[in-house]
Amino acid sequence: MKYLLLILLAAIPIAWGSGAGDTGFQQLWHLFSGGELSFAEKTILLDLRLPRILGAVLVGGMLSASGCAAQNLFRNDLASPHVLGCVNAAALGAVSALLCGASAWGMSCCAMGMTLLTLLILLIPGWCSRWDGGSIILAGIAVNACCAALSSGALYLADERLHSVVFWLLGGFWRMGWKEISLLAPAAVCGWAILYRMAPDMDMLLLGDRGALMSGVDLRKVKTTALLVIALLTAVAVSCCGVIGFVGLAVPHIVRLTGGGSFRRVLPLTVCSGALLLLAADLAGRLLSPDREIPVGIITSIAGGPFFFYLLLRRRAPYA
Amino acid sequence: MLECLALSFSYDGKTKVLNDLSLSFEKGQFYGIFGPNGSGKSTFLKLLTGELKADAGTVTPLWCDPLERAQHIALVEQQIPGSLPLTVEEVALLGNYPWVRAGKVSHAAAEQIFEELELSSFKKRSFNALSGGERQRVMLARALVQNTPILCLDEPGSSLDVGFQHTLCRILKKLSREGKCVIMVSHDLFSAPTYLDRMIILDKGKLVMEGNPDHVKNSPGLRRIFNLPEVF
Repeated sequence: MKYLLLILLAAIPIAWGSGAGDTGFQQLWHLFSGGELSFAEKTILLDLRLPRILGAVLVGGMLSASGCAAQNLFRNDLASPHVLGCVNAAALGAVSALLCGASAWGMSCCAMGMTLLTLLILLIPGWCSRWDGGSIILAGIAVNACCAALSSGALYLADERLHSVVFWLLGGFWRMGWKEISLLAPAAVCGWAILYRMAPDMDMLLLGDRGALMSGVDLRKVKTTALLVIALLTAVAVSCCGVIGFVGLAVPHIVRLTGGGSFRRVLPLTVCSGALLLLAADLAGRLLSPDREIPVGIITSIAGGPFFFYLLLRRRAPYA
Repeated sequence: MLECLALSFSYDGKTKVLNDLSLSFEKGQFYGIFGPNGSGKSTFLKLLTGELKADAGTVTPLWCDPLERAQHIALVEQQIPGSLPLTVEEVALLGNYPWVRAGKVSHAAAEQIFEELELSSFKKRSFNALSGGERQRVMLARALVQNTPILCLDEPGSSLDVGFQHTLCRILKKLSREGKCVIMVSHDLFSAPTYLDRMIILDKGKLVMEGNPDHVKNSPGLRRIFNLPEVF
């Protein structure tokens, strides 16, 4: 854990000093040593790159934490906020708000509202099936399909705003400012803290509903709280940076493949790994194509697709 | 310690799985519940543990709060989890959950339980790397770590080899002698009764026999219920 944290802390100044333009490590050194900096350099370092880096770290940690929680909650390797429909629901809310000309807060509220609505829809089969994970995941897939179709409909109606909506849907951190960070940071800290506190409950869920119930877990309370936290983390992250795929699915798996263990140990590792992955993906998107940056969502999906396939092939092993 | 009175239950509201069943379970006793497939053994265990609510009749004491119930009854399920991303020790120590959540201290001697169940040598191994029988032993260790006065087991020997089935029964007998009430649903009519204090036979949802294992095992009614040949 401490090595991962050190790598993350080392990666932050690298990402801070890298990017298009002449502002680099020298200017970053001047910023800390009190050297002379132009207004433009200060703006690039403090108002453009720093919130962007913090955004990547927070969103990476939020999406991977919600994926980690979803996999424990449903005892399913393939569960993630994406599969549950939370990502596309949040995207639909945010796109609708964007088309109506809403502010960052307005988009976040709409994304959160849509995710909560999705959650309510998911709770219906949950209650009816005594919280059977399979039923909730199937309902999530159905909701996911509906939200994706409605998002496409919104694109159809987007007219001249189509380009900005599509670019937003691809996911990225170019819009990230201090306003977005002020929204992301409290949501991330609250979500991580609640999940960390719920760690013993999340471990018990791995025993299955009967095992957990007979061990004293209040299934309804634990599952509802976990779903709400997953929705909060996903909705706020998606509303600030668009749809970034595979982080929620892949990162918890990478962590479990390399170390694994109880939720209390896996969660901080997952958060740090997710933060590092998105920071690296954002940096790659900026450096690979300096003239026109590649959206992070494209990079994570390109890297995540083959990993997902590998996961499906590997999944047979424990049950053989 | 645990008593049920005139229990009746049906899953669909029509076919009675259990019909007017009354039994009491005392501490320091080792009970075995037997019966042909579909006789209602597992359903009876679910009613006893409070997982299901009876259509008629009562189970006392009735714990409404799952946490309070988990401090009194531990269950070893028939079905073993297929995959758990935890070590053997971590799975066994999940049994501490009801005590940790209630802010109490568990007095279970985890190391002694690992020794007894022959788990000490591989407690740091991944649960997923174990065989079915080894996993069943880990789940039993988890229930013992839960350290409750009542221990219920739903066909715990189904994945165990013959040698360990005897070891298991010996451990359960010892636990009952230490004051626990042990209730085991089983199909093993041949070796398990040797260790039991009381034997309960269910058939078609009704209590047909209950008593000393020597007496019940040798009764002609038992052969008829299980359709056993004369040599048994």
